[in-house]
Amino acid sequence: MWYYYAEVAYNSTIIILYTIGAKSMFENHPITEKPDTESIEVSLHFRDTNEGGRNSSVKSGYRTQFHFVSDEGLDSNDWTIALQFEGTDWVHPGGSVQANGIFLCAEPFQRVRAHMRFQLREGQKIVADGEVLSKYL
Amino acid sequence: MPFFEKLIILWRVISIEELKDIHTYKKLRLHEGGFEMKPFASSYDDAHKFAKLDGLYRGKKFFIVATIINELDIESYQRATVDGGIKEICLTKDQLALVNPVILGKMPRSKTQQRLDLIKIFIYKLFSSK
Repeated sequence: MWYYYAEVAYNSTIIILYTIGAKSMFENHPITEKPDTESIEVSLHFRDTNEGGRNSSVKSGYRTQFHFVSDEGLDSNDWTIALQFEGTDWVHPGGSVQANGIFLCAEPFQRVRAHMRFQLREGQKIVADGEVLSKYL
Repeated sequence: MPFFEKLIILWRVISIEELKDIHTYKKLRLHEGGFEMKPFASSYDDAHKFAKLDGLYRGKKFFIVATIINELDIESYQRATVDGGIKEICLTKDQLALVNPVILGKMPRSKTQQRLDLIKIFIYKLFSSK
């Protein structure tokens, strides 16, 4: 009988150790933390289809590439941004709107400045021109 | 496209909603009011980096799909580097209509799962190219 209990205890210990080990391996995976409250206020002008802009209207919640030239003058990468439009759900090509933007990464938020000009891109296509109005923490 | 041509695998991290959409329509589709192209990562690692940024380790669920394009056509695709070095290839609506997604499973993938995924992709390609 004691042998049975010893085997159960041994197996339980193995399972617990394995679970703790697996969990810690999972938790140790590097994570890029970014506070969800960091956002920017922007003014946007979507290019008309004839000017090389989008073919269709844009819906609030639009996720796209934010492209800007940094203060150092280096051409930066593009950064994924999610935009919530203010006062409207849709913007047509050629239209303008103010929006609240949240980046996926922390880095661009640290680098953008108020009054900085930027572009919204889809691949290499420039779909909108914009200006940063303010930053919120 | 003959099977022996040089092929490139494109990876895309998708949400549960997009997964349901693929199951329904058997295709990757563009959504009204959104990006007019579908961005894909050019490697599994880049797709994983994107999922990580998008909340993979903060509890959001993601799945991964892959598709194959011919290297000869690479100039016809829009490319971009986003979020600090993730290389993307963007497919337009017309280009999306020509590719078939292979659903691989839930993210993240272990090394063994990634090897099995590659086999799955190429078996799929082998049968779909006949």
